[in-house]
Amino acid sequence: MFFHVFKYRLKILLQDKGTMFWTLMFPILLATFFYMAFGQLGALENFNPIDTAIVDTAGDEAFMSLVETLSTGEQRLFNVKTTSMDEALRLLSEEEVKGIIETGETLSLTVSQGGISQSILKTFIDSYSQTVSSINRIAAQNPESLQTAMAILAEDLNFLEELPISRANPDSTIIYFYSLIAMTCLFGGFMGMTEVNAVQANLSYHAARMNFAPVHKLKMFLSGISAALIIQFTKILLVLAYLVFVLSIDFGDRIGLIILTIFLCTVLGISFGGFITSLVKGGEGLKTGILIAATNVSSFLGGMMQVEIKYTIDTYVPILSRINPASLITDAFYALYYFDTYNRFIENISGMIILTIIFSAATYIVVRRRKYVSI
Amino acid sequence: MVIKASNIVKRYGELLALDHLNLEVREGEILGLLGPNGSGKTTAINCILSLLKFEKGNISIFGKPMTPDAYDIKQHIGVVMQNVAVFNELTTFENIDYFCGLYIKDAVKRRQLVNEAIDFVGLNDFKKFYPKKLSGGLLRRLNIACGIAHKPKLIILDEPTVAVDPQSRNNILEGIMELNRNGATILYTSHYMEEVEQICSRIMILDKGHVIASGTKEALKDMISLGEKITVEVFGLTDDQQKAVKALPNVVSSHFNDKTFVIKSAKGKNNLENLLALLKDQNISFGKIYSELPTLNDVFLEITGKELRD
Repeated sequence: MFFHVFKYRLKILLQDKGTMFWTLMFPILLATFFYMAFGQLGALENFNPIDTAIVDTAGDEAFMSLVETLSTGEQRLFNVKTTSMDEALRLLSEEEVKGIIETGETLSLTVSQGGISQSILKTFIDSYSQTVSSINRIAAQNPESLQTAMAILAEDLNFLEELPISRANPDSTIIYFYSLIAMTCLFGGFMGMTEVNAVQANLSYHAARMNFAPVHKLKMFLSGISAALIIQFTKILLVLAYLVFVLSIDFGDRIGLIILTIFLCTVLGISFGGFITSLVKGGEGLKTGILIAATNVSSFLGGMMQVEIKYTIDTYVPILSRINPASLITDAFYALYYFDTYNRFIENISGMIILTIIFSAATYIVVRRRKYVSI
Repeated sequence: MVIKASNIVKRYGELLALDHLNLEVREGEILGLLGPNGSGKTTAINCILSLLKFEKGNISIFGKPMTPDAYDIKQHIGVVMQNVAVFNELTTFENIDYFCGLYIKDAVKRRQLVNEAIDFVGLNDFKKFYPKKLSGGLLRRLNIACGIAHKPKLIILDEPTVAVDPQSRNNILEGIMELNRNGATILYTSHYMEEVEQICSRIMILDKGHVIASGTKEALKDMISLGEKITVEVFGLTDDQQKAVKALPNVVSSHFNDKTFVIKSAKGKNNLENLLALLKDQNISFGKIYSELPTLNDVFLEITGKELRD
């Protein structure tokens, strides 16, 4: 009986064009739009070594030694070509290098246009010149402090430092894609609503007919909700696959945990829809309207529309973040992406499980009703 | 007794929907529950099926108390509701299979039953059609097939012919009689008296949640004073002529309006002959003349003072 109802609920839900659009096509379209709008922002934020030509006119060994250090390894600052001024100018004119550094009494920088790379080069030679000048001054005025001063100044020459807060390469635009997944999970609420309506005799004629049958109502409900869960989970996995394989969005190396989170979020989204549907007395139209409103408010407070809102709520009304499904979902994804430790992730997942239990219990109390005052 | 409902009281707020309703359905019969819209027919069915709460009374089916968990009873009941309740996402075959599957677990047996139901309602050519492609009449037939495919002992049909064309209606009524001939007990609700007269072996007339009369159609018609209604097309009548007609034996009332003279008589022999003789004696010219026996509407009218379709 379970599989009989399950099979047909699958078939019915799969042909629900409205739900299919909002929970599969719409997120894919939105993701594509996000990719086109924000895709290049992430690329800009990733640092690439600056192609630089060095003309060592003065034979400055100290400077060349520093440049060599900064031009090796994965975290290097420069790709250096040591060459003559003529060759350097040719490379600059053909845009093969961003700038030319020439050693001499003072370091000189030649660039052909402005930009972030050129600014970094300028900052670099200014900082180097200032440091060398300081060392010379200290050596002249206070030679006994020279060693200490050099140690301090050497720290300032660490131009590039990676802060290891995450396993992933931090990308601010990833938040939008996580929010998109979270929103899609919450859209599962509509499937929860459909399944509650499908067994409530006072809400649909089909449900009334099913209530006449010799089948336990909860068994039918569980069959339907299982079908809804599988469909919704699959759809979100398809959205995730589209993000990863088509749009090449990098979600870090915790994809297994992301999928687990998506599953829990799907359960939460569906139970949230069931809960709202159970609470609201009225027709399907009213329930749909209130579910849309509740989803939007939850998403807004969860920072899906304006990320600052989430931080404000977290700061001033933290309890709201703890009971808001959208906040928990987005925060779980953020925690997975930004933090090496699992504390915050587990905290969010626990909150989601507790909310799911509360929503499901409340839905059960309503759905278990066998007789109605009116139909 | 297949269904026994005793003293059922059901209220919707201030509205008394069922007023101490007593109803019995005997094995093998087609009981017609006849009443105007809002008389409590659907409410009575939903109470019988334990879907609606009611304030007072007892209901038993197949001799056992009916409750929402009485699955052994529900197993043998088929319900066809007033509103078409099929899934637009499933084909004709799948819809019937889905609802039949709630009663019959065995897939092979179910397939056979579904095919029989399709055959019974004449939807063989529409097995793979989705409901949206079916006409209103075919949709009603599908609705019926979904309710009866598992071959229940008791079939409850709540106004299954509402908004159905005459041809489809006749098919449906024929089908219901065949189900009854095949052994099913049927509770049939309608506000169409002709249907109820046509197929029901016993009739209960419901008004304001209360049974106002019950029995066979003949017995119901015997309850009222009206025995015959004669309508004459005349071209003019004087007051004296009208008085002479009223003075005829058994005449209860007469009414003349725009060339139509309606005479209602009590039961008795020769009512028509007496009238024809009077028309001849009085030299009254007349056109068409016809006599009708009382209908269930007349029964309802005499008992309640209003038409069934008011």
